[in-house]
Amino acid sequence: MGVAKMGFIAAIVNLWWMSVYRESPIWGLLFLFVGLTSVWGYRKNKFLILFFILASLLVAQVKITKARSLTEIANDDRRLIDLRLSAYPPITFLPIAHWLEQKPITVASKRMAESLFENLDPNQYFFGNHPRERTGHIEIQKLIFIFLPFSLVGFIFLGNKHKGFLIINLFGLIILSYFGNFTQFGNIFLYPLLLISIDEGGRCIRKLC
Amino acid sequence: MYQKALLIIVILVSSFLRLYKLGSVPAGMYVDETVVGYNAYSLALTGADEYGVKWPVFLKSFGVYPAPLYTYLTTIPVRLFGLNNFSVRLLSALSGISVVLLTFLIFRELKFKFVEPFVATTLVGFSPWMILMSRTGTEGQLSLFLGMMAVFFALRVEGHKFSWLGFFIFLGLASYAYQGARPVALGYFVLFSWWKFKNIKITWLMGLVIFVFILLPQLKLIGQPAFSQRGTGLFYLEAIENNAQKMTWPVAAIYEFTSQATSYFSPYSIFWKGDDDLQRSLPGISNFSAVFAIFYLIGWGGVLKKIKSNQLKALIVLGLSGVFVPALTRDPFSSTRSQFLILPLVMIMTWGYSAIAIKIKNYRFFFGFFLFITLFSLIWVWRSMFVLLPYERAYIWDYGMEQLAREIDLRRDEKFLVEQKRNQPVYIQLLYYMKYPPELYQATQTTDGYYSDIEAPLTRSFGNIRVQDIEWKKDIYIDQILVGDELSISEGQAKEHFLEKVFEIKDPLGKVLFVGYRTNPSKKKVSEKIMLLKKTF
Repeated sequence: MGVAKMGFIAAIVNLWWMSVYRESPIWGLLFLFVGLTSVWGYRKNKFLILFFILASLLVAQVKITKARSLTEIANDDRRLIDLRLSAYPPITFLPIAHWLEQKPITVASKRMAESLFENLDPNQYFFGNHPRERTGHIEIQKLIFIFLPFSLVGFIFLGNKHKGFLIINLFGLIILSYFGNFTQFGNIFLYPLLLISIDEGGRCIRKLC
Repeated sequence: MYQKALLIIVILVSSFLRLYKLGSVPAGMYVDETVVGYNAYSLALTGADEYGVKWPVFLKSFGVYPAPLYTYLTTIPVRLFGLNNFSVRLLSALSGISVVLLTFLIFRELKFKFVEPFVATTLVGFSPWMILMSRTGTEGQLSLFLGMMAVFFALRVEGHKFSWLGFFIFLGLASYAYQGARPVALGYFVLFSWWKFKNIKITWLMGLVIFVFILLPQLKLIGQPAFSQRGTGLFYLEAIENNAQKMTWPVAAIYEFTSQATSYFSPYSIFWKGDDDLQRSLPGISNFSAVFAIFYLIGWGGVLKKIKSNQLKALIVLGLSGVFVPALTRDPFSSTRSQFLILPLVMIMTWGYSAIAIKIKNYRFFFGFFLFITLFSLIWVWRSMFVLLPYERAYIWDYGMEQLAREIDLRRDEKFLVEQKRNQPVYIQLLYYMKYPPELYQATQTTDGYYSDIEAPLTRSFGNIRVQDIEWKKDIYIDQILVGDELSISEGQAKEHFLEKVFEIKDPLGKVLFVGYRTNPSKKKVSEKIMLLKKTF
């Protein structure tokens, strides 16, 4: 019974909406509602609702993220780039050092990749990024770690059942990587997907048992 | 035919990446490598380690008790090519190349089809993680090679009853190659025996007897600190106790273990962040090139399609055995301890490759695309390994020690005091670079409490060298050269005590690593007398 309703349990018993609630009760309750609706929408195959929720969360995520420039080079970055440029052997016919170290597209893709990979880290959602806490970020534990096995199983099943849904989420993450990850509440865009994966995982485990 | 040609190319490129400039990239020799080097030198010349113990079960070294097999086998290149960086790293590089070839054989044994074993071999061969480990003169790659040999034999037990013997022999040897391989060996033993239960024959029992026989020397030391020191010292008890106040001890322990284990499978750790330890990682690149992350993410979806297959069983056995040790140690993501995860990770990535290839239905095109991104990733490997590493991480790899040994060697008639507050332990590196005669050094050491006394003093004295902290009230009155880093001896202190700078050693970045100052006791004493007279009158 409990396992079968794992998604709803995870939506209620999680530290994420509570953290938001502490800052703003209205937004906190709305976040709780979004979580419950996502699980309900997934169970009832209401993908239009899910799509609407994801779109809203994407906009909200962009709004609450302190956007950073993809190509601006701060003093610290400059120092590292200059240091690395001096390490290259003198190749005059190809500006390899320039391409690999300071070409705007290289700098931008590195920053986007960093944001993307940070958001793909399960430790960020289940362990407050422990044991690899990031400097300059407020790390909050979002979901209780006992839901992790359900989420993993759920992801594997989602990968087979609803590839499209996963691709939409991945696409959203790629868009978000343009803006960076400096937010107080972490990557709220993935909230529905995480709850749905837990729900799916719970149901799969119940079936297997 | 073309598969064979491709495999040969991958092996050749992988060998090049492991052997090219082996002695000078990474620049310098990390202390763990010089321990191996000097002890191999000592064993080759005298049959005993630096303490004078004949072929010990664990090398005491400076109290960390590494497993001895790598050092024992390094006596061969040391005898052939002399004591140098290349000799110490050669066995690791050769093991790394063998790991690449074994990957192909294991994947073929697991019935991966068409180009899949080749894809897996390429991923291992060109992995920055595996390349760096192969270029480090420590036990990592040797133990991985032996562990993979055991896996290879275990996968062949159906129809090859003597494979159990190979499995147990290599498992036993792996436990002598790396302390962290012992729990992995135990995991392989239990899980492979359970998986291949139907194939358990008399040869399994014979193998087990051989395994126990091989382990006997270690088992004899089971109560000694030498046996457990390495493992217990790295456990995160403190972190659990801190969290236990919030969530009870068992929950805190599960939390810590699960968070650590998860980080070893996290795409963020594997493809972006890598190991936080600057010595165990490369600048600007992670364990695998980031471009391969897509295979990994998609590969997880392939798990369902592999249910009840040998591939999934192998993933579970290798994954569980491989993650157990690193998840029990406090480093967030140790690339050395997690090396046994290479096969499960590459397996997932290979599934991902196949899933995409099947989806787009154009195998040749996709294989071409794979080769293209592999070449692209090699550019980044070249940048990190051969351009940035020897330049910006030289000081991490104890660059400067060789130059220091040379400076000391130039002044054999003078005494040296080398301070090591920030460069511990210096003594073994000086012994290594100066090729100090082992029999002379052993004569100054004691073998009492070799396996029980984990306190190995880092203050040592040999030849014209003392390695210890500078005692300013005493050492400036002795005719000698004081050696330290920039912080050990300031310009002000040099002026105050009439010290004369005799050498300065810098790393490729221009950072001062060592300075040597000659003391001037007579001038110091005269100046003190003058000061005293001035005060009196």
